[in-house]
Amino acid sequence: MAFLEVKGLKKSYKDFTALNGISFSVEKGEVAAVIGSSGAGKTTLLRCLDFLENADGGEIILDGKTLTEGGPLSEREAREKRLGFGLVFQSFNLFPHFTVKKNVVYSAIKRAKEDIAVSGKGIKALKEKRKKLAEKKAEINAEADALLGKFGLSEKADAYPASLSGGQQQRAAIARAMILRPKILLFDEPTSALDPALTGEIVNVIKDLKSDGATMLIVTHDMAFAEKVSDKIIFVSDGKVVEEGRTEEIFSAPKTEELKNFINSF
Amino acid sequence: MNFWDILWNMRNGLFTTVSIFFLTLIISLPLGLLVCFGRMSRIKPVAAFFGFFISVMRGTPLMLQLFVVYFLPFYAFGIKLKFMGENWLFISVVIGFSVNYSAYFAEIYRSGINSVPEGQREAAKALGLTRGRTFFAIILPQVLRNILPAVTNEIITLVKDTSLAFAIGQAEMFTAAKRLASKEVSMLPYAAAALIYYAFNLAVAYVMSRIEKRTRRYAVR
Ligand SMILES: Nc1ncnc2c1ncn2[C@@H]1O[C@H](COP(=O)(O)OP(=O)(O)OP(=O)(O)O)[C@@H](O)[C@H]1O
Ligand SMILES: [Mg+2]
Repeated sequence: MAFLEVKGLKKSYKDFTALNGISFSVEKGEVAAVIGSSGAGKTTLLRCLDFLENADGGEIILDGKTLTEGGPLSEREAREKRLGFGLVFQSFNLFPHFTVKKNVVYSAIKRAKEDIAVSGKGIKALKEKRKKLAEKKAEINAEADALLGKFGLSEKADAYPASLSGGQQQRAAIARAMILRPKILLFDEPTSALDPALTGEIVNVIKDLKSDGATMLIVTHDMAFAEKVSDKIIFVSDGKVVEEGRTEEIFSAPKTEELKNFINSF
Repeated sequence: MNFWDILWNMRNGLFTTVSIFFLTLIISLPLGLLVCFGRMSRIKPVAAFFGFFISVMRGTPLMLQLFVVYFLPFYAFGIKLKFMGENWLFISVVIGFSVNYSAYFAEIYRSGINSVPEGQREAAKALGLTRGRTFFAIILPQVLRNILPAVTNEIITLVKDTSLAFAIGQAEMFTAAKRLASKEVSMLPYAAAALIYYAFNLAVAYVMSRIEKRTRRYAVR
């Protein structure tokens, strides 16, 4: 079974069908690009994978676990399940009142606090808990420093997002998503909010992540970008997968008329 | 009677004014947040109730509301006002101001909450933050930054509005000025009162601008 399996995912808004039974799979360590014209349902797909929306039907299986079991999820269940996914938003959505470093560490520290359960009562247990948390915090901070270093943001750790360039903000957003060690990174249009000159930068970032073994699902309608970074292409149209295959094959020999037209329109 | 004598004579009134001001702020700022939650509730009747409450508070004179609060124990519960204790006048004034200002602050909070992009809430959600933490750690600080100018305006209005307590018989600074003016047959006490209100507001403006400056470093470009 593939690392990520999506089977017949459906999502409708009122009477509009955004996802009409999407199925595809991504292997571990693979970079998959979801391409398709505007309104095809690409963002909706990512939002359903990350449980920001509850899909109306279908299955999401990540690393052998079926996440969609048992109908619509409660807020609490969704909170647990979405942690397998690290979503990097199209407009990054960094928290403007946190420094870059705090943006990165915040969720992990809060998570550590929740995880360190109160074992027993009294001063001793409390001290134990404090110690554990301090250790965990130091770990998280070290990990954040490593991530920021990797993305060339060490100097910006104490800066606020507003003072960062678009590319820097994006890398901070990637670091923020990675601190929780998601199994798969999801990117929504990573080139769209950037200067065209900066797309080379994000290509390198993604290639770096890939060589570290990260699995990624990247939504884009930048064909040149998809060709550069992806191992496989998932072509979506009207909420359905029309064609799926290795990147070289898809670009050199598209099978469907629809994909041919789409590629030729660039 | 020189200017300093006048100020000295008005000290009790000034103290009452300052008390009304701070108590109202301390109560109405958090109360406004609760009213705002009610107004933004997903439960329709709750939202409608608080919407109505806000519109009444903003649509009727504050002075009238002060009277309503003051006489409420009698008309609503038949309690004679003399049984409400000697501080009831002051307490009712503070309640009246706080409830009224909570409505204004609720609307300011609401516009502030709506001004924070939906993406902030979603990013917090995607990072597995709880809803409570999302609100208090991510949304609220941005709301507070966005609404500072509006809150400053409201606070300055409150400084001046405290003089309305005069109408219901609460001896505050304006009452003291009026009493002194008729006793001394002079306009000087009014001038002194005006000066104090003005100085008070200068101080408010100064404090608020300091707070605004502190939040500017993370202003969204
Ligand atoms: N909250 C919503 N309510 C109603 N319709 C929605 C909602 N979100 C998305 N849609 C609709 O679903 C369809 C798919 O939207 P989606 O954002 O997934 O497209 P996309 O492929 O990401 O497009 P783009 O390339 O422009 O980002 C669109 O027609 C959109 O109007
Ligand atoms: Mg989109």
